[in-house]
Amino acid sequence: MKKIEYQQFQLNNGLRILVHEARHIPKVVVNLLYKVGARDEDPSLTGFAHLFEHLMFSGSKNIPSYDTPLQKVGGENNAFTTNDITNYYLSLPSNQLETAFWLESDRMLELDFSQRNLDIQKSVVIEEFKQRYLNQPYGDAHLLLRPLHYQVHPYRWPTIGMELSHIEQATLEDVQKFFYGYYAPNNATLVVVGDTKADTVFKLAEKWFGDIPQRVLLKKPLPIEPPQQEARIKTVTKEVPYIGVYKAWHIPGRMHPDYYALDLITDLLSGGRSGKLYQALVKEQQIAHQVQAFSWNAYDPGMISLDGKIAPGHTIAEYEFAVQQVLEEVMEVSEKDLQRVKNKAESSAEMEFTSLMNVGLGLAIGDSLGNPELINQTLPSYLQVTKADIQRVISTYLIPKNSSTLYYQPNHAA
Amino acid sequence: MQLDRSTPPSAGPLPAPNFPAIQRYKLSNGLPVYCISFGTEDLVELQFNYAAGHSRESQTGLANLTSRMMIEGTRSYDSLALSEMLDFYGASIDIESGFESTTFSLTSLTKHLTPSLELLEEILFGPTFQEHEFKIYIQRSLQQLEVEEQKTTYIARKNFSRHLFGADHPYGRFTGKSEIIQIRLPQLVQYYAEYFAQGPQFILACGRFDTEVLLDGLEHYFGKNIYSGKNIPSAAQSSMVLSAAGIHEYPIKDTLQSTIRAGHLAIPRNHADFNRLQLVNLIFGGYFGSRLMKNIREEKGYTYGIGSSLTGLRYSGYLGISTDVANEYIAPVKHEIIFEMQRMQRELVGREELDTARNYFLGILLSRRETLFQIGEIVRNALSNELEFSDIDKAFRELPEMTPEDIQTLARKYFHPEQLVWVIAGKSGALTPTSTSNSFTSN
Repeated sequence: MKKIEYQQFQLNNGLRILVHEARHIPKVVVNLLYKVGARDEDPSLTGFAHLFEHLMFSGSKNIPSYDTPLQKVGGENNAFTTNDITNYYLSLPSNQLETAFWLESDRMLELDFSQRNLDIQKSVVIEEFKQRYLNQPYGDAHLLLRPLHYQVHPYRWPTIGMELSHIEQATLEDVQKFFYGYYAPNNATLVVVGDTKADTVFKLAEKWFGDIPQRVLLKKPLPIEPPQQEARIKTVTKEVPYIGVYKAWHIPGRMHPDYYALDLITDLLSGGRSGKLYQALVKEQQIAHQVQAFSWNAYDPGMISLDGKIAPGHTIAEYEFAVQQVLEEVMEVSEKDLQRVKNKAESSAEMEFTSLMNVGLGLAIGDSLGNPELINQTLPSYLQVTKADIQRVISTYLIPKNSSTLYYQPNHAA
Repeated sequence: MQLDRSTPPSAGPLPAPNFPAIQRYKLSNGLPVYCISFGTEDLVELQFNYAAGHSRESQTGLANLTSRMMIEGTRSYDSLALSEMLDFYGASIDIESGFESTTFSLTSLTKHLTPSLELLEEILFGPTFQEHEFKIYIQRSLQQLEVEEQKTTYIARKNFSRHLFGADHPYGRFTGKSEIIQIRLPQLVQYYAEYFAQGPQFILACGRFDTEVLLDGLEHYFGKNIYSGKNIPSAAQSSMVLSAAGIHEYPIKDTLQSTIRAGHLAIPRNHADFNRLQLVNLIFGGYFGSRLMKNIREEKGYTYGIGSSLTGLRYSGYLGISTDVANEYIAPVKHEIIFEMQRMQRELVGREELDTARNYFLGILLSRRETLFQIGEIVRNALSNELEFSDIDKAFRELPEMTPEDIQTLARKYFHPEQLVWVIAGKSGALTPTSTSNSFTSN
């Protein structure tokens, strides 16, 4: 894969700026990442970082509507909140780049806080909560798995929040405090990707963001999750057709060297149609009709999760036994299988970076973790993983005493 | 000098559109190949397009299931071997089977294209349709759909086109549980023989590749097979539409939200008014700044999102609106949808609002030409809707001319609130206290 070139720069107020030039179409993408997420929330006010993301579109000091002027120059935007970050991105025709600087700097400078906006966005977020998590069969499985997996770390609640009442209780005062405590130039990375020049971007950044004052951040050290001593199990019974099994193992954070081997293991297990779990549980034994492993690339120690739904007539014990067998099989991974998931990682990376937005996000995430080079180091790190690494991380992390399991039982007789 | 933050930076006109060149070739058997050099990554996407789909099947689901079973075993490789080899080359095959066509898309690193082509040739010309694989596939699909059946969005989507076009119309069909159960393996073997064995209608290549090398590879694997090139008529051309305006409720136990889908017939993709009507739809409900979004999400907070879209098919089309709302908001949301539709007809849209929507539309058209996948999709849609390539940029010529009067004229001509077909999945009775309309129970 070709190296992704970029230039970097920092304003006196601490705002970090990265630029990657790509000229094949007349378009630019601007990605503004704030280093604040659900993990920074007060345990009694969960879901707030995400609610705040909604409020960022409700008008700023000099610009009553964020969206309209952007749409008017042919641009579009969106945002997302994770447990670690809040990320805003815009794409627009390249000759309209300055509009993005105007819009983003004004809302970093000062928001237009109003009770009415807060009330409306609260009800929008409550509907979002229902739509994504409560109104879907198994939709709350990961909401239930988290507090089993984490006992002290704030990853125990999801970005949408622990409960609807936290969102309902948010006040304007909370909004103000959060803004000045986290939405600061010294807590952000601005990345511009596309049909522009680094010099142009640096000048625009100085012009529009240069006079925004540095702020005192509310950042506090987060509690560290103690090592788990024994397997945890929880069972719930709900109106669903099949038994769902949601399993999680603790793994280290994104910057830990073991991350790459662990992520490749999820590909060996369930990446593509040749994944071992799919082949064994779904195709050969037909114990499950769906099974999927994910690694969650959290900044702090995260998880590998394994979600499955058991086929009628089969039991949890059969499922657990089959999963264990597949894990043992992966311990003895063949060179060919390992090469296969590495090749897949290579083509996925090529595909990912056909999108300017993904390049912008990749640079911003690396920078927020203190290493913008991460975008170029990731694929080589996957390619260096050996069979010994795979064996070592399975026996270190993917073991029963390091796991939590949620059984999601149908409330009718199977 | 103090920075003036209250006025937007002066904005020039949008950059001119610049669609990459499309080269047309033919293999020695006559099969057309379209090549587009595009992108910065060493990737290629090949699309093989077949005239197979709901409009060319005697029983719902045949095209869909036949195409999916084609990757479950071939003359030289079983299902697992195929999957492992494709994954080994980092390649993937996606299958999309719709109303008018079925497409196999192969995405591969350019350096691994040749071995992937060999596998694709096996899949397209040597599928074996094993009973064992078929059983597993059916069983797994039914179990997965059992979960889908509990989702309000799925139930609404499944029933919407049936009410809009009528159950006997090809565009009213939907491959759900009850359709899958009825399909037998010999039907797939026969469907393959009729609609796939004679080869695709065309191949479309997009990405970074050496054209000569690519054409040699395609010639080797696909230039010697039979290619009939005959036009297989679409049943959608002659089928009668039986649209059922009114309210159709699908109660689902214990839901917090209901899905609303509403719509009525509009125009096919190649209709002269299509691009212009898209702008009308955009203002109405087609983007974040639309009237539906502003009114129903941003002013009232009734929903996380609401949108409308204009779908242009080969022989028909429709305007569709969809949203998920709390049960208590079903009636007010329906009221606001009709209100906004009528407002498009009653009042002239403001200049400012028109300019914003128009520039947004054209900006997005420019922006969605970023990846080889987007370019490939635009060209495939043009080919399957029988549009001229020169029409790909037609919106850039038509939209700048449009006036508020044009918007109103089109809204009056094509918006018909009284003809809306409403499908509500979730809570029933919100709109029909006396229960006058058709009501089905889903379980």
